[in-house]
Amino acid sequence: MSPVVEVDKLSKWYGNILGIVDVSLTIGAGIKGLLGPNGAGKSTFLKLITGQLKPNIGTVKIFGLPLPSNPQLLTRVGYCPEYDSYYREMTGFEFIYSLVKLSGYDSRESVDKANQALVEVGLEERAGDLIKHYSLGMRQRLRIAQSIAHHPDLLILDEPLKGVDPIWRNKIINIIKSYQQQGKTVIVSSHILHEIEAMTEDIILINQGKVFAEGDIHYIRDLIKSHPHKIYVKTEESRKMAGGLINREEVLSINFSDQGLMVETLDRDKLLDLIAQLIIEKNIEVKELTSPDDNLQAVFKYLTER
Amino acid sequence: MSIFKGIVEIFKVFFRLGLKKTRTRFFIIFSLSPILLIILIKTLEMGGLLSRGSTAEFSANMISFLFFNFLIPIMAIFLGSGVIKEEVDDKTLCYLTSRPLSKMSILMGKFSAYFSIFFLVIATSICFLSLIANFNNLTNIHLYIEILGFNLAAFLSILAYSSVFMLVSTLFNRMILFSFLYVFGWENIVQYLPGTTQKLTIAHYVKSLLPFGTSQGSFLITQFEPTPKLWAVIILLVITGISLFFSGYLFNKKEYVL
Repeated sequence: MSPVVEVDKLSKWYGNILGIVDVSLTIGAGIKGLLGPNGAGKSTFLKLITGQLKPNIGTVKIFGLPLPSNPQLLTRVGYCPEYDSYYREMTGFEFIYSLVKLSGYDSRESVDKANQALVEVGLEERAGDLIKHYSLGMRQRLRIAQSIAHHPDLLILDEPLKGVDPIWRNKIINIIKSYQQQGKTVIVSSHILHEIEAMTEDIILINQGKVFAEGDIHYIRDLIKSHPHKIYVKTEESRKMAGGLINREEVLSINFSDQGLMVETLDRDKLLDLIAQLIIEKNIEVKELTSPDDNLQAVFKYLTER
Repeated sequence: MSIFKGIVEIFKVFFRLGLKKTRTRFFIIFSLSPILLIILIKTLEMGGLLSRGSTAEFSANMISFLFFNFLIPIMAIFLGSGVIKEEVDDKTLCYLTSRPLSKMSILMGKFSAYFSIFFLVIATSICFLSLIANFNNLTNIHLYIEILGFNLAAFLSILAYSSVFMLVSTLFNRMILFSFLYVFGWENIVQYLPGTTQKLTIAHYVKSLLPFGTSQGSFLITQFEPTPKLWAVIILLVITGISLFFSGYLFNKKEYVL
C-alpha cells in the first residue's frame, strides 16, 4: 500500500530557531501518534504536511503528490490547529458550513455535512449560538468538527484533546478510532503520553525538532521505566525517613533538602509502596509527596543526556 | 477549486461575516448619520429659515469633505489592513489555507467582500444625502449625473486606497501608523501645494473626479490643478491593479507563522 504522507529530509527553521531538522518519514493508513514535549516541533511538522508552512529543505508528498503544486489535495485533508482560533461573529453552524463550502461542496451537501459534524461532536443544540459564547471545550470540539465535516482521507489533529472534559475526551478518542476502522489516516499530536496511548500504539517520538524514535508505544513505556525517577518527600523527619530508605534496592540515591529529601529510583511504584510502609511503621508525618520529573520532558532530557 | 470559484466562495463567506462585524456597524452608523443632519437642514430651508439651495450646497460640501477627505481613507485603512492582518492576528488563516483554495482567491475574495460592503454603505449615504438635499429638484437630470459622479469617485477612491493599504499591510506588520501618516500627513500637506507635487497622492485623482459644480472646489482645495477625468480614472485603476497584483504576489510568497 502506498504511503499517505511522505516527507524526505524535511527541515524548517524560523530565523535562528530550529523547528524541524532532517526529518524523513512515511505514514500509511491508521492512527499515528506524534509525541513530544512542548516546543519539540510537533506543530511545525503538522503545519509542513498541511502546507501551512514551506520547508527550507526537503519535500512533502501527500497521497503520492507534492503538496505545494497540488492544492486540490487539501480536499482530502482535515486539519485541526492547536490554537483556540475562530471567527467571533460566526455561529457554530456558519463556521462549519462555510469551511465545508470552501472545501468545494455545494450548499446542500455543505448543510448536511455541517449538521452531521455538529451532531458528532455534540454541538447540534448550540449550533445557532455565536462561537464567542462557547466554552473552551466546546470551541475545541467545534475545531474538530470543522476538520472531520468533509470526511477527509487524511485527518491531522494538533493537540485535539486540549481543554476537553473527560466525557468528551473519550468520545473524541472514539471518533478518531472510527477513522482508523474506515481505513483512513489520522496523525494526532500530543505532549501527554496517556492521551496518545488511548488512541494508538503506533507513535513517532519527536524532540528538539528531530525524530527520536518511531514505532510501538511500548518502546516509550520501556524508556520511561528505565528512566530514574525523582520522588520528593516533604517531612520534618527526614533522617527517620532516610533511615528506612537507605540500602533498599529500589533506592538509587537520597539527597537532603531544606524541608525533606529527594529520592531517586528506577522503580517508582515500588518506592512509593515502601514510603507508604515507612509512614505507617515508623509513624512519620509526611506533608507532601511529589514526583517533579514525571513527564515526557524529563524522559527526553534523560535520554538525550545519556 | 478554480481561482474564480474560490474568489466567489470566499466572497460569500466574508460578505456575510463583514456585515456582522462591529467595525462595519460603526461605519454604517457613522456614514448614514449625516442623513439626519441633512433632513434637519432641509426642514429649516423648507421652513424659510435658510436660503433656498443652501442644503444642496451643504450636502455637496459635506460629501466632498467628510466622505472623501475623512471617512473613505479611514475606512480604506481598516479595509485594506483587515484582509490579511485580522486573519493572522486571530490565527484563523489556517482554516482558509488548509482548504483547496489558492492564496490569491483568499485575498481577492475577502478584499472584494469588504470592498463591496463599504462601497454599498458610502453609495447609499451619498444617494440619500443628495436626494434629500435636492428634494424639491428631483426632476433635474444634473442631480443624477452628480450622484453618479460622486459614486464613481467613491468607488475608485475606496478601491485605490484600500488596495494600496492592503499592499502596505502585506509588506509591514505595523501599517496602521504609516497609513494614517500618509492620509492625514502627506496627502493633506501636498494637496495645498501648486504644481505636480499634488499628483503624488491618491486624493488628487479622486478630487479630479468630483463633480465640482458648486463651491466645494474652493471650500476644499487651494491651487487645485485637476487631472482630466479620464486620466484620473485610468491612474486610479492602474494604482489599484498594481497594488492588488503585488499584494497577491507577496501574500502568496510570504509565510505566516501563526
